[in-house]
Amino acid sequence: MGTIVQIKNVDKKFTIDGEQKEILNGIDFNVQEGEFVSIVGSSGCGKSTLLKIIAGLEDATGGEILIHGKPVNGPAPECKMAFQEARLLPWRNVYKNIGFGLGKDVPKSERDELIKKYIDMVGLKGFENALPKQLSGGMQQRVAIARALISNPNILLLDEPFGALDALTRINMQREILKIWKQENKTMILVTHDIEEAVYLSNKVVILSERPGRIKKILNIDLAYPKVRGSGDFAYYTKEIYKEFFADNEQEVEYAI
Amino acid sequence: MVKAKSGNNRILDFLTVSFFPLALILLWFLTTKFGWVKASIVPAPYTVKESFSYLMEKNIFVEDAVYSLSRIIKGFLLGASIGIVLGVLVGMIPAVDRLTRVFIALFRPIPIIALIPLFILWLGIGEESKVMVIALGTFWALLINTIDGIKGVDKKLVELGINLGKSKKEIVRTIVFPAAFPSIYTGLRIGITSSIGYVITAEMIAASAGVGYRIMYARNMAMPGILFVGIIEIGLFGLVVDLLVLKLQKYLFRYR
Repeated sequence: MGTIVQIKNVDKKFTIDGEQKEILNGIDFNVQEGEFVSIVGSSGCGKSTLLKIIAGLEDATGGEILIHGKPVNGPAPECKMAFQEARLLPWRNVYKNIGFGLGKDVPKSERDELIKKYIDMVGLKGFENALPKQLSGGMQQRVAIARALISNPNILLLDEPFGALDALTRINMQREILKIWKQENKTMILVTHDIEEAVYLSNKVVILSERPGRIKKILNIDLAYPKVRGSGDFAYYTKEIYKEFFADNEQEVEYAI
Repeated sequence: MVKAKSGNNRILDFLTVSFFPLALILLWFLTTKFGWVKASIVPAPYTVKESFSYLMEKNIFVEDAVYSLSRIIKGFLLGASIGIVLGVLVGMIPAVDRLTRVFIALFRPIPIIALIPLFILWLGIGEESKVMVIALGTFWALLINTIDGIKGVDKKLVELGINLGKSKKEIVRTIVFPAAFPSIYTGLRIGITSSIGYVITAEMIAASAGVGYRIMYARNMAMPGILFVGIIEIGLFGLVVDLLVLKLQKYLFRYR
């Protein structure tokens, strides 16, 4: 397994009201093929912006992104994104929303089979004809994930897609995404502010500082899947990340998602 | 979801909805019956019915409606199509937006009615001038609402399209246009409703057929019965258009 994404010294500045604001500063790390990487940071640290830069939806002010060794200029076809909001087309049903992820080049004969496969994978069989307004938040996110996966991208970018879900649905979705990750052998990059989620899902956690986002630490999570949330090792890693955000590192880690 | 209504509720609904129309008809009946107002000012229901029978017999009633309606359809289609196309261009291309901004701001506030004499001067008293009045009214309604709709499209959906590798053309067809469509439909609704007003006004000023012409003619000839038939005809026509438009709206936007 080689390196699939190289993030090389990426800077990002926004001009807001004529004032330059630094969002990201010197972000530099690699993602290996098949790896599950989480980017953790407090809100406003530029982690979503970083994801958009990787996808080619935003330009970096400095530095560059390489995918398979080639620099990203404009939308990167290898990267599909699941956004914070499901962003479904409200006038299309589940079947057609998932089909929207397919390119024009996919022949009609294959479309139906593919769509059905992904509807199955995200557990929405029987909801093909449902409209987005008829779905719960979790189901909407499943549609969005199926839509991102159906074009078989190498890299799936997850921008806090479970952030708005209730705790139980979120745990469920985390399990589903791990299942898909293993089945489909994708590289996943997740942005989250949920420390436990990051430890539970990923091989590697990139911790960003507050604005401007800089890498504070990169932590490899050496735990076997499926990880047990209550275990001591699990707590060790969550505490390691927690320490990076809060000075009172003596305090017992006592929080829940 | 609305619960199924029981029979009693339906009757009650019908009674409340039709209370004022029925009361008005009753009042009309009584005022003329007891001679509270002069028959030359408010004709009796019977007189109106007679006028209606006369117009039907001579086939004038239907002919007038067909004249007015065909003017509406021609003008509406012309104005709506130009309005939508230009609206899409203004909404999507910033340069076109800047080019047209002053023009739109300057000409839009002019009431269409004020331009009728000008259209007659330019295009004569034939069909063209009346069709143009309706086309212009519809054009503004569509232009403004299409621009609003296109500019109001959720940028996040466009970003999604880009991420999914859609071409510009595909994004316009599959995201921008459907997302702007409710607003465009509002323009169509305003356009068709105001078209009724424009056609009647234009026909009152210069025409030799049509519902507006008939009303003016009846006033000149002091035939209040026919005048009333014309007014009721417009009212009913408006009612039918409104019902159809709302039904279609419910169907088209059932996803909301």
